[in-house]
Amino acid sequence: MYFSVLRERRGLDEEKLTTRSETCEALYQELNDRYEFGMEIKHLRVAVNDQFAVWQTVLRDGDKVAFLAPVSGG
Amino acid sequence: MFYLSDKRLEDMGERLSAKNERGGAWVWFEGRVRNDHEHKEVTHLQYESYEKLTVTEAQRIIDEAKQKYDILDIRSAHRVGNVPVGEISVVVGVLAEHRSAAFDACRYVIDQYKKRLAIWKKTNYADGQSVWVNGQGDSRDRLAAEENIGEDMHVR
Repeated sequence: MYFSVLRERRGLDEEKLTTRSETCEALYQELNDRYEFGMEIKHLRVAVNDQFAVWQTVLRDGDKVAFLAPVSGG
Repeated sequence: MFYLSDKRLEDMGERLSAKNERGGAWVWFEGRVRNDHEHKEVTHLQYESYEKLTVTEAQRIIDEAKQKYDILDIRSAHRVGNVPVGEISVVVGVLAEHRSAAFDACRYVIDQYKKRLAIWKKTNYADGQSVWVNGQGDSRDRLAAEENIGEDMHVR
């Protein structure tokens, strides 16, 4: 799942994919290499299955992952 | 209680009021859309949210405030979608027996919302430009624009 600036850079709200990446961090690097989001991981957060997660979280089949740019609510 | 709404918060009425006869202080914060950002005229803000994550985290923040401060109730809401200048984008209402805890809790909640809720806002300007607030993409695109145009402009 993508939101805000990442959504605009990817051109999609969400996508289903098959990956060999084992962690959230590896998945982001894989997608960033392909789509050049231009945002370093240290500036982002990640959520897995609707909960904030750490970048080393191991991915399982069917997991829903969201990459989150710095928030600006309020 | 927290609501994420694509409708005007001004119209939410009773859902945002707290009633408890023990309450002697009701503190109410409204975040409104200003007409100016970085000296440019704003038309509206566009809010986007990861809804499930936002609602869960907002409730967590409210629960924290109830633990930290001696308060009775919190009523709160945040907009998604387009919010024109002058309209309300976020509200936090805190009911307590006494005002000190109500003020402190209200401040805590809005400060935590700004740091932790999965909500992003895009400022839309009268000149047709728009920019995501606080995103790293903001500064990168500005830099690219400056390189292309050769002058210091906040444009896309």
